[in-house]
Amino acid sequence: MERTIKEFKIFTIVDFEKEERYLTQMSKKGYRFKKVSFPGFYSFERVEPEDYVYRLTFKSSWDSDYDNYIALFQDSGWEYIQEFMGWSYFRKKSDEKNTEIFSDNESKVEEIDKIFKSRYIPLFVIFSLLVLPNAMRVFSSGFHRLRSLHEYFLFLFIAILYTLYVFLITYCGLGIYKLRSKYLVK
Amino acid sequence: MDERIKRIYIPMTETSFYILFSLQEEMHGYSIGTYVERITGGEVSISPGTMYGSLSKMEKDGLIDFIKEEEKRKIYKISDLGRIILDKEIKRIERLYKNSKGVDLSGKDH
Repeated sequence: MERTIKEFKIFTIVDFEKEERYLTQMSKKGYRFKKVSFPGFYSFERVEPEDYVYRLTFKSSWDSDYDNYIALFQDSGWEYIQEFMGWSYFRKKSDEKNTEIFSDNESKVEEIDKIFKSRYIPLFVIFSLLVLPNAMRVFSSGFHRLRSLHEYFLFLFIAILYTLYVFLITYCGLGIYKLRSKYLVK
Repeated sequence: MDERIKRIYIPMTETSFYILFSLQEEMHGYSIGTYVERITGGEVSISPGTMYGSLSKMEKDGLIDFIKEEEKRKIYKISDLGRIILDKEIKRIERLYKNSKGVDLSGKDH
């Protein structure tokens, strides 16, 4: 039997809870999460099925207080796995107490707002300043005016990028909204 | 007192109250958590994400001071402003408690 397996899975900035469930389920099936080293590429080690809860927090190892952050989590019984692109990965045996990272809704909403500010807003700015104007320029010149293969490919590339971006912006916008309303106490 | 700080912290969330209350003594995040769990008979537990977020926010707002770092653990203590806020909040909770027990405070000024 293969000792290490790799899986490809895409999770956006609003899918961290899905990613937690995915890693938790993999561990129940006997695949212990080893690392993610490139966006979407997950490595697992084949082991006996384990009962762990996996959690992700939006905390980057570039922060000056990252060591303090990790120490606080380790003191609280969390095993630190790794940091990847601004996200910290932790796990804990599921029969231990306090398997939540956030104990009240206020702090959960604050975390979501942090994701919105530092991830969604830049995405939106890039879209409005770069993708949208370029797409408009290329689209307005018209498909029939394309002469060379080069122009045709550029058109196609911009069209795909544009569609992908519109999808991502909508998906993440809705995701943030859904997460906020799930935890916002009125 | 700063109106913004007042608006944010009064009334206070249970988490903020217990953190501020604990920090009348110097403590680090995890020790606050175990202390709160003990004095509330296990009824209130503060998870590390919430603890970290609350401590950072309170430090930024000047309610607590960062004292020193010991083995990667940041030790905090309540500041003068934090003290004022905590006393205000304790008075509010006492009023709440008295009213809930049927005490009429109409004859008293506050």
